[in-house]
Amino acid sequence: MSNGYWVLAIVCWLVFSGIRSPVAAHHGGIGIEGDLVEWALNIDQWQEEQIDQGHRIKFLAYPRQPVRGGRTRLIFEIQAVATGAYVGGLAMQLRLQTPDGATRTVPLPETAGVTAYYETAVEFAQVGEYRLTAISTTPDASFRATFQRRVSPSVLLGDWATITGNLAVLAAFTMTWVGLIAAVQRRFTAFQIDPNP
Amino acid sequence: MQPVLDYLSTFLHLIGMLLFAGGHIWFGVFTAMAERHQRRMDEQVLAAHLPVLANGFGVGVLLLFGSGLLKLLLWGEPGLIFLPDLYGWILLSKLLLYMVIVANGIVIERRYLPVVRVVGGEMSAAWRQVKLRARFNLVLILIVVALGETLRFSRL
Repeated sequence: MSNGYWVLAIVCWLVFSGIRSPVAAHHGGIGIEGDLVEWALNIDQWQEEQIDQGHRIKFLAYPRQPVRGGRTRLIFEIQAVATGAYVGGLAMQLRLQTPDGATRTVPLPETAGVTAYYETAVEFAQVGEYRLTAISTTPDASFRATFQRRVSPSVLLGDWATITGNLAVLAAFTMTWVGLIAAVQRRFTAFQIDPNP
Repeated sequence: MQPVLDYLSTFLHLIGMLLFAGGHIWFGVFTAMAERHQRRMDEQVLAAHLPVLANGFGVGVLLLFGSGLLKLLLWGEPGLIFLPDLYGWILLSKLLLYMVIVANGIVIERRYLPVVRVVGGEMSAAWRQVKLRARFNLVLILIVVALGETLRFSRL
């Protein structure tokens, strides 16, 4: 194997192996419409919502693709469907069902200073489909919503969109690298005779 | 730090576009003018400057890809090209076209550029191939630029 391919292999490993988006660097936030840059910077999060017992439960996960062993922020924003008002002061908990069927419940405290944001961070230990159920145990406002997230073994092997993206970027990177090597080599090659003048 | 890197990646992307897209446009204009007026001298001057032009195009490609990859790293991770959103499909199309452009550039660089010669007062066949492939690349570059602008305004 030539030196160029060794360097390519090392660079690929550096770029794609150790990348973890720092969880703490993200401020959360469910509404991403509006400013284009803000939207672009917030795209790496998963969002979906459900309605139960007159409450809209907006779910956000960051990073978008949970990875085994990595911490994932899970945020639930609660809104009253009828009035649109954000609902704070609820007693919330999160039930996690692992791919092998085991369940555990963790508290889901409201984020200080952010009304109606209930947040926790979890470390997924298993690869596969997790069921995440946000439950309100508040007597006059009880509801629940279950969401599913698939945990992948690494950032390279997520859902099809992640795999496609990684393959496309890797292919473009490889093409660029081959082009660079070919161009540099050509500059050290003697001029040839045109075979078809 | 992130805003600085974000600004830097945008700035370098623009410089790369100026070198690569702008260079191809001007090269296309000058070769077309030389052909139209049948001025062999002009073509010979252009051919003589091909190595310099190739250097500029090469630097432009590296700036474009490097700054694009830096943006993806800033936004999350390289695989995050925003699929399956519309934004992601446009970005994937840009990447695929980019690979075709680079592959075509490699063919020009390796196969034709070293053998461009003036033969009996006429330009060699390699020169015709360089012009043809450079024009093909220009068309692809313009499509990529159009997709980039679509990308920019797709959410507005």
